[in-house]
Amino acid sequence: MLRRILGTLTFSCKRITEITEKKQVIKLSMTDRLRYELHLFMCKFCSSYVKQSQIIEKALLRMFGSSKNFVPKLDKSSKKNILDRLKKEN
Amino acid sequence: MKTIIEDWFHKYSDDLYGWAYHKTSSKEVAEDLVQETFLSAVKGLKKFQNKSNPKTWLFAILNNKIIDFYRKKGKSSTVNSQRLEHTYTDTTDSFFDSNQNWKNTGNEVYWEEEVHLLDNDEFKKVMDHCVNVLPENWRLAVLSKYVLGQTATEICQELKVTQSNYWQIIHRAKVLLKKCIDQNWTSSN
Repeated sequence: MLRRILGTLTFSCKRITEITEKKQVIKLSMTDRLRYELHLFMCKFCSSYVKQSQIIEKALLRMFGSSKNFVPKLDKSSKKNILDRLKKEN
Repeated sequence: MKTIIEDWFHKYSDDLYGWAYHKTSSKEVAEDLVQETFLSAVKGLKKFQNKSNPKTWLFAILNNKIIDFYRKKGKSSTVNSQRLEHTYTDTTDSFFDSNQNWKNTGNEVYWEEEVHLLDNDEFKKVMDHCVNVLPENWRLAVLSKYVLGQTATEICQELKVTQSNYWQIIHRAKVLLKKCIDQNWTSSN
């Protein structure tokens, strides 16, 4: 019941999942931001979802991209191989 | 040549390699991708307009190569993928009630409260599984956005989808990942 009222006053949970993605690149209007925050404040499912969403993003970066502290370089022989290959293309 | 390409190679190959390595976690793959990037650059040199920055141009080529790499790593075929997209759209809809609010299942999992989740190998396994079962386009959109940091416009061009379609894909994919983790993380723990 509470969530139904919330739905008319603010956004539905589904909209929250959408806005959670969009707001990272598109600035929300003041009213929308209030509606978004109000929903999160009152809805434990969505406040949980937003935290989980951040963990998912961090996990994706960690798993599919490696640590930023280590920057490998191409070694000389690899560079030479690629350059030779490029010259052949000529 | 094409000495210009050689010049670019000396200037940018380390940066490109570092980027490719971070996005693929493999030195061999990164090296191959850098090589392919420069081969494509040689072939496409005419298309390069001096107006644009060579580094930006080379990174754009490399990002396409990385996406191809992700694509090959995935399992599903294109035909299957389209069918999967429809099914998965229905699936994400089914998580919400008629008012578009989360269905209260009574067994919600609050795994975000667990500590050191990102260092947990079991969690990584679950994540890996969940990413791999996404329909191809959804997986590519998610990886392009969150791993490559590409913009919506770039991703729309690559996947040939509209902006509104893109946002639908991104948020649905995220909801699916969440639900997939809910299911698999509880059962394994």
